[in-house]
Amino acid sequence: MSEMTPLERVVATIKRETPDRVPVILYFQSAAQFAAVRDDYTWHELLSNPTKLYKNVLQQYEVYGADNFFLPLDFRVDGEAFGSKCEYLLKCGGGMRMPVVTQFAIQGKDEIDDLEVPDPKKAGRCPVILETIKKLSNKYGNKVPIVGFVNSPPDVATDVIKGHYSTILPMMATDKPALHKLLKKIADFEIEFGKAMLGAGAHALATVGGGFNNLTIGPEQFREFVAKYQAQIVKGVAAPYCFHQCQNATPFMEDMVATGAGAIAFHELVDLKWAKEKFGNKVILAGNVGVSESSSVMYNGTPQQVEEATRKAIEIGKPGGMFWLSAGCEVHHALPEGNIYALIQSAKKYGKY
Amino acid sequence: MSKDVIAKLEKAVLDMDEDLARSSAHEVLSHKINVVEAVNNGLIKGMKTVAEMYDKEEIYLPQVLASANAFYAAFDILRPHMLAGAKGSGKKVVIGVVEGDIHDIGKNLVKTMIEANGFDCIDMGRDVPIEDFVGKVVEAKPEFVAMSTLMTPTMKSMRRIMEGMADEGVREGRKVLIGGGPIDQEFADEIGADFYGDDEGQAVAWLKKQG
Repeated sequence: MSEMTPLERVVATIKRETPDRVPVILYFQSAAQFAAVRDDYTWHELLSNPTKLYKNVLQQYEVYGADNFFLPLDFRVDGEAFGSKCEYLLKCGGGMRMPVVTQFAIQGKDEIDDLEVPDPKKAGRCPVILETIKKLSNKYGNKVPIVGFVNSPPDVATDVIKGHYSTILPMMATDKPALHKLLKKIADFEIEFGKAMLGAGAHALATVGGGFNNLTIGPEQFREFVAKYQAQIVKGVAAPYCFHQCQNATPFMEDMVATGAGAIAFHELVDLKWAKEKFGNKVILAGNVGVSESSSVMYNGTPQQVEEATRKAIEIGKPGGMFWLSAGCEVHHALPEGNIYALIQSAKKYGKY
Repeated sequence: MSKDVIAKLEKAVLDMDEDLARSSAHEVLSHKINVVEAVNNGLIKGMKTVAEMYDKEEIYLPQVLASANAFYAAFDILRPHMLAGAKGSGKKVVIGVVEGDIHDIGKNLVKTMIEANGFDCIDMGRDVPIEDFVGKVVEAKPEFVAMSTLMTPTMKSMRRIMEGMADEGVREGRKVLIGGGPIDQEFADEIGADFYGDDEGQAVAWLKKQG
């Protein structure tokens, strides 16, 4: 089979056809810092300037060789659009140099009714994202999938209301109506933001669900506060969609599939073999070479060990198609950069059909 | 009367009812009920039941945190009235989320259960600069230091706090416990922490064993 473009490769998997090889689809997020340091950009410069962001995101394909572009690179765009303000953690040697919310859009539950759903074409850094997608589309729109990141409504809620998780989590137990009002407004925004990204040239959308996982909530809460709104977004944007859930998503997988997303991505704590057997003919599976745990191969291993882990993941996921090789979560800046190359090159080596 | 009011405190925690917690705490004071007994047999008893239900996965963090909110709604009223020396072990724990990480739910949960079991907590909050964390240990001379992080990259901050404590000569004479999503026993051994725990129950059980 002749070599496909990344876009042809991914489209083939979506159509349930056989691509030339397994696509490598990554959530390339804080690992953008490697290139930012080389280009001498601060995170603030990188995330607020479309020219700089474009130059950085290009490298996901041109330098590292992934089969997709992924942006925004950070999780705060949505909360900022609602009016929250961020600062950038710059001083910590070991920490994320990413924006964190320091001023929340609303100070309490009683302000939810008055919270306005922002216009993604104007609000916060959304225009930077849309402009960057346009630039990517102009250069690679017919060759490389551009994936727009839509944050999960409950995660965005923690960026919108003062108190962060300490406010949102108890509301799931004691003030469901107010929380549902807030989540509905956020989902409405995410649908419009997703449509705007698609309109700017994105081919697909993805959500990386973070804090509302098996360590914090149970299956019923996942269904009521996470999956319900995710399904609304998937339906509302009507586009190819990948839904990732952090931590051990095993108890939530049925609900993730039920959202209607065409692809499901998951952390290394989920047994890929089990997922392939149970869901492999229903949705595209994306996973799940270890990247998050302290013992994960991409964090602690050598490039040779990453190659072996990638080979094993492909051995499980590849048969029958409908599989994207991916890391178990975001590709982050604390990884040895060589392991990112090892992951992608190994997928190309072992993924041929 | 005393038993009824104390039972209401327990119920307030179990029902996640902050209003009932506050009104019951005021009843404790107005009826001159033994405050330590009210805290132990009402609030702490309730939180222990909540912790057991959480361990059995009968409830999850939303309910636990809502119960903790009710606990503190009453505890903050009653704490100033607890007699000196009757507050518990009197042993101090400096606790915080290390620099670079803002995820503090796990830390708050551990803090609640530590306080509910009679330890005095000095809560440093989240994203605590390394020098501030070490400085507080120097200043407060706690028996225990508790650190958490949810993210792999910020695990490095834990190592730096350990090094900072050693540099300042305050590592000796106190024990360090760590926890959080990416942490495991191997990492605890690597940085020289005394204890690694998966959850607040393990942390409290270990602290109590230390006497």
